[in-house]
Amino acid sequence: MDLQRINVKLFVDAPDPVPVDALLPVFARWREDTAHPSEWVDLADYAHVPRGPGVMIIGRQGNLALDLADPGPGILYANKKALAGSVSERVLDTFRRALALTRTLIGEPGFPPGIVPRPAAWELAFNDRVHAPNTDATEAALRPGVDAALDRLFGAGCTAVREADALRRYGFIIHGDGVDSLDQIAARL
Amino acid sequence: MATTEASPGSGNGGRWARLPADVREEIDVFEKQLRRVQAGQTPEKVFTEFRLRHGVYGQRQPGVQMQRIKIPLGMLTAEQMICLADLSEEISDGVSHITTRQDVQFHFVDIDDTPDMMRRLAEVGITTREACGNVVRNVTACPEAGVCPTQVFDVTPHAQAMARFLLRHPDAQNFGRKFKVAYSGCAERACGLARMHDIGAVAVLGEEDGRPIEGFRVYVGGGLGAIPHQAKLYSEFVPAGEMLPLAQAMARVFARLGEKENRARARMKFLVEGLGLAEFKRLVEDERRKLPSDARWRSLVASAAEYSEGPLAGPSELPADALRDGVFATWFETNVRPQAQEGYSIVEVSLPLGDITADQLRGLAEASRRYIRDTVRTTVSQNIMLRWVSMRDLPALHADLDRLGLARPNASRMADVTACPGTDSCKLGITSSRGLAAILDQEFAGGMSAAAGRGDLKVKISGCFNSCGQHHIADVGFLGSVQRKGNFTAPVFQVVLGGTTEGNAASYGMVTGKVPARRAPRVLERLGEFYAANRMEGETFSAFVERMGKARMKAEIGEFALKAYEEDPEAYLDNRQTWAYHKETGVGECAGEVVDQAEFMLEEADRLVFEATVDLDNGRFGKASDGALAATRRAADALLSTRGLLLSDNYDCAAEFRRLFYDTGEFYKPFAENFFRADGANGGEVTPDDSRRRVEEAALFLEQAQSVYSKA
Repeated sequence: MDLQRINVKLFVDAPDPVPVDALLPVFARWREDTAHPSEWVDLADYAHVPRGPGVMIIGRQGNLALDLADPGPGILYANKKALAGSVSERVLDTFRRALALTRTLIGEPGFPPGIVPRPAAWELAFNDRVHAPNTDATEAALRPGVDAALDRLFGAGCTAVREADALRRYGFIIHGDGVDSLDQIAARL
Repeated sequence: MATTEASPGSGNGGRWARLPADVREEIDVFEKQLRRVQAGQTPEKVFTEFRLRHGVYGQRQPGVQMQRIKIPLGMLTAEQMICLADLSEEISDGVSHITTRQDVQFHFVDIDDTPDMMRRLAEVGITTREACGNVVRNVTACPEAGVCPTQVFDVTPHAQAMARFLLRHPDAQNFGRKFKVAYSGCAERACGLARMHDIGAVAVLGEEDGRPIEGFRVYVGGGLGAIPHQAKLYSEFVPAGEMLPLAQAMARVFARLGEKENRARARMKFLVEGLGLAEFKRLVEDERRKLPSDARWRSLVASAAEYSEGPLAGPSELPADALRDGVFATWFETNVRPQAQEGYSIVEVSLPLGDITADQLRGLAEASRRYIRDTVRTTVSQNIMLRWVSMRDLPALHADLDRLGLARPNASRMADVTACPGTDSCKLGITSSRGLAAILDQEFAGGMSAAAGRGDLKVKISGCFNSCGQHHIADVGFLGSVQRKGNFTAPVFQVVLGGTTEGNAASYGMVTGKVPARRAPRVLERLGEFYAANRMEGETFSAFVERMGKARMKAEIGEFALKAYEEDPEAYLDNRQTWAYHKETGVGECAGEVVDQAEFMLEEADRLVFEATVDLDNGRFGKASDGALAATRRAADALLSTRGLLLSDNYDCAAEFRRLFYDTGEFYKPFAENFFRADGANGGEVTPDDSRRRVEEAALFLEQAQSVYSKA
């Protein structure tokens, strides 16, 4: 099963309204880096859509966005290609890419100061209903690999609650008990 | 490379085996052709038209596609909405975009994802076939068909039959350009916009053997684009059963005689204009007589008529205390209207810039199953309409929509702005139409104008002159352009006033002035205030514009004209963008700005075009035509001056322009050819249509001259 489309979202605390516009000039600058591994294409401005994708930068390898969708705002990385190995390895690699981009984004001078990551709060989704529909069969096939990856990232105190709505993607709301920083997670990768 | 494994069982079993064989094969062929072009076995040029005919359209950004998905009449079931939602998440950016022709578009799609996307759409009865390309595009119809209080009869089965008939029809595969068909259930209301299409059909009743029969008033040769053309009345009455063979006969004539080389003049509107309506009609009737009989002419209409859309719940009244809730009351006032069937309402869901997220679309699908019998319709205002909503369900529906973020009021009002994709994704975009629309969205929500809730004022924005935003038929239209001052280039909008969607798009606006993109919101605010302060009782905006005259309207927004960069640097940025619109070419001499002679001449040309517009407005057709030519020559002189030609040289303007800008390919050839044609005309009587066309052509020539100059 060649799973490439895996999404990872780091939830953040943010003021209301979320100042997504601040990312427009940041992503406008990022898109000029044509050598970046994410293969940036352009930015997409959806700030006008309530609970929408916010402001995102589109890449051929993956997209990054300050995303406003439920259950809450967060930095969303949507991987599209170049993953290999087992389910666990693919999940870990997605987290690795997401963390790298997130830390770069947060480190930008233009990143809004009122937006604070919650390192223990994540969402993981398999963005591929053809190969990973939200079914018990998918759960049986993928859950062991997912658990292995999450154990490594967050340790034993991690909880992963599966998405119950069959219409939505197979995925999880994750809480990593005892995880205080992104550095902590990165160190485990 | 594809990110999925080889499609399970494509053609050989597995999931896709359930698709109809012909549909499956069509998509398999598409995939094979895709692989061939990727392997260098098929010329790119050949594949381009092929993929366009599957709705795959190259974006402004290299290597990604816009996928247009045809939704005939805008009709979507809940199952289809869910499929679109899922696909938008998986292969696009999570957003489905409703277009001005009732289609759905995805952006930033990897072309390798398109074959399986087409298969998944086919599973729910959707095809992307002929969504783009030189074929019959989406057949549109008023979204209230079947429930509209003013309709003559329900055009749904007729429009559906037409869509099915023309899809993949062999007589519709050899056009030189796209072909658009629209149906309207009545003449007065604007929803169908029949008079701006290649074929526009407006429902009327005729009589046969003393009994009323359904038929259509048929218009032909309409279209917006760079130069809008009003459709001409082809027939006062065509029986409904005759519409399909009529369309087929027209398709044959268009395929046979339509322009194929010069794409700028390849739409059917130019064929009708060139032949004259009488000759066009003669050719069509001749073609009609030769058509072999096709059982589908009747069977498709008959089978479409079997479709019925009725309510889920019984008729009812609005709960007595519902309107005490101010938020609900505001939404009810603007987004809900009674339908023809008592006890039911039509609800219009307003989508900001026509965008809806996957979660919202799934939620809307759920709502449609809960409150109506499943099917919604997209609209040309880029919204979604629910019909057959029982009145007592309105508060609960509103609450559900509110939870989804879909309960914004002012649907199809002034605050509900229409915009094409523009520079966000379109190769042809000059200015950020969506950037302006987003700013207006914010400002209206912030109380910018007391006119925000007016239903008789429409704002439409196009990112370039191709009019995908339909700015010509707006009360206030914005058309993306560029203007240079000194060494700096600014994104600007031409302000187009006096158009209207009423009477099925019966009147097109004219350019009244030009303002920096960043100042467009203030211009709109000013126009709204001016109208509110000076309108007569019951006077529409287009009538107001006509009464005031273009000169007065232009004067009203004159203060917003582009200033020098040093005075107003922000005006040289596009909306919602903090980065330079164009790379700076340098700063003027510190002792004072040197103004290039070309710039003076382009300003003069701009003035001459405006004066020609005023002459046109006042019925001075000969003077308008002469003024248009003078403007064009002056713009040409401006560019020639950048090549060292002096007016005192007494050169032949057209000949030198041809040599230095046309033959070299630096100037957009179709617009230059308009100039050569006008320059070579031998005078004689000028008809109003001729005069209008020449003024429009002069404006476009000037537009292009500005663009060329901005790159000098």
